[in-house]
Amino acid sequence: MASTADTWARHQWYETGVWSWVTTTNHKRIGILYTSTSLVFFVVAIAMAMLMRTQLIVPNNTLLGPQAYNQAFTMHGTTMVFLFGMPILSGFANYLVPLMVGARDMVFPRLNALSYWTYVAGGIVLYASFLAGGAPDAGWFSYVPLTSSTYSPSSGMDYWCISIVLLGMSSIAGAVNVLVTILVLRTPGMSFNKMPLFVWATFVNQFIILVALPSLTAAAIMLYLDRHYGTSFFNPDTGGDPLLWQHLFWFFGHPEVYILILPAFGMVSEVIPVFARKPIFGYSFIAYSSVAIGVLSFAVWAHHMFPVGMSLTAQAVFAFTSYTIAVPTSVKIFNWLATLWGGSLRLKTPMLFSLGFIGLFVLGGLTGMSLAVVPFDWQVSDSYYVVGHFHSVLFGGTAFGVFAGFYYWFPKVTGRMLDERLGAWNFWLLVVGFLLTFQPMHVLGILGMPRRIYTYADNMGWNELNLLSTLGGYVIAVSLLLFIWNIIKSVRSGREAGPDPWDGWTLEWATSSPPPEHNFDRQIPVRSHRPLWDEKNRR
Amino acid sequence: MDEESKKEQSMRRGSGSALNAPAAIETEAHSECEGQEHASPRAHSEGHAPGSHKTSEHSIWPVVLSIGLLLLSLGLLNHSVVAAIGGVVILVAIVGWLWQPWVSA
Repeated sequence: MASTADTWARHQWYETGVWSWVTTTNHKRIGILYTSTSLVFFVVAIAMAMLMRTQLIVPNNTLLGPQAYNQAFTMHGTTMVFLFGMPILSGFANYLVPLMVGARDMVFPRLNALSYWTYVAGGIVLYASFLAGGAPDAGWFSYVPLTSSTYSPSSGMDYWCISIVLLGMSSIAGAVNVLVTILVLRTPGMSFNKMPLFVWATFVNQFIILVALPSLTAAAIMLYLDRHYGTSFFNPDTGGDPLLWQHLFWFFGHPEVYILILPAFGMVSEVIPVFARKPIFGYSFIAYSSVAIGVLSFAVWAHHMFPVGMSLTAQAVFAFTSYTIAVPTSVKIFNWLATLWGGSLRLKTPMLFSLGFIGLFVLGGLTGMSLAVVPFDWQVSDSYYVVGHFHSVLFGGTAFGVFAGFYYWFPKVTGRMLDERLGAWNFWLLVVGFLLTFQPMHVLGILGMPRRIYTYADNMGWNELNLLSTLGGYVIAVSLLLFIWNIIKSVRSGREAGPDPWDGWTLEWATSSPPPEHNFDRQIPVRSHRPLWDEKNRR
Repeated sequence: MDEESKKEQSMRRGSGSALNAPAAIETEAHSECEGQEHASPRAHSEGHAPGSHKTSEHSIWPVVLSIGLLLLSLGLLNHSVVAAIGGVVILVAIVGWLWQPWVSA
């Protein structure tokens, strides 16, 4: 007699159409769900950015009032970090990690599905705030006492707190899943020093998530309790400490930026050797530098707090650790450059974005080094210099890395190639838009323009740079529209990709595009970190 | 290393891994069930059809649990009745999750 489970499994409605996506536990489908949902949130966040930049295009503008502007930058930041940046990287990890380690799925498929749907729930809660009297408006890092019930009486901050708790749960569950998958489901022969560098980067990344997210989750719960249940974690009038919020937040917040950049490092480490037709230079150094970044990322958080009144000793220590963390990142950059040197470069779109990543991320990294100099940081804290810096590293770094990965692995996911000409336009417009939008912000910051202001007076000397920055934003928007058009066009009628369109070297290229549900039909021995190369060139 | 030990090592390392040799399909079936969540004894005894490669079961319980979390969250922010409903949905989802025999075909 068939079991209930068998009957359930064989029932057609359970496995077809939209319902099959709602109930899926397959890592590839969940990866696609994560990526698609995060791209929707990306468009929403970009729309908010366009509103903000348009408000600032001329002095004394009246497109957005101060309340609306505050909500815009808060939701833009929160959405970009928690609803786009982290989930899209989870999408890549979900899809690729089992394929790259030779597994059939994640070790906990239902937990994987729970991670995705809890992320969706977190996004719904955050955006439900618009219907409940207004979105949160105190900035994406929600400093107390501004976010206390005294100064933020509306419910927007409560929606932010609950949303952050849900998103934290989603990320932690996902991290457990990915870590255990990498630890126990690697195919025989794939030791740690034969793993793809994207898997290395993801492994360290998920460890950072596991350690850092609980700090934010705890802080959000504490803030909610302070707002509604009379506790005094952060209220100095009743024995609390507002600086405690900053420590808890940035203990998460600085590792967070490495959560956002490490997978991009991993993607670029996969793309560059394939398109330079050379093995990666210094595989071990790139792998271990990821570990070093993961460890050091927990030792620098207070460089976000230099002006709060910490002791000079504390400031010196965090300045020193902030300089130190540039070392493993520089190791990666030198290894990528050494890989390119003497290579036979194929300047396809994934490679263009990888090269752009190196150049633009270095720009942002250099301004980060300047911010580690304490007296300089005192001058430019909370100015547009900081806004320019973190957009340079996150847009020039994470976004360009994600684009490189997207163009590289899109053929594997869909079986079709993205259009190269549209890709090249996408890339060059994005480079121009990036430079026009974010580099003037460094000058604006030095000229004294604070961040988070909804307008400025005519005689501050900021007019031309703001105009330039906004025009750059429009160029970015055009580039993103081209990207969306490229996806739609290519999914419908793109050139068929075949299993290995780039002549790649890692296991995901050893199966069809898109892969079958069980991922692999045949076994490939793993003797190095380039198993497919070894098979193609075995003597 | 004898055949038994090789199979055992394959089971430990390769649970969920598709890159086991074709001859080890039966072992692979057993190890997949171990490597995935709760495999029912019936799954082991029924085994897998030779050449069958379907791996991913479907499950309603993750999305139901998430809906419960959503209702609980919105209820905390708005109305306690909604939160109570969310709590019940969460409990039902947890029971359903644990009750669902996890079969990797």
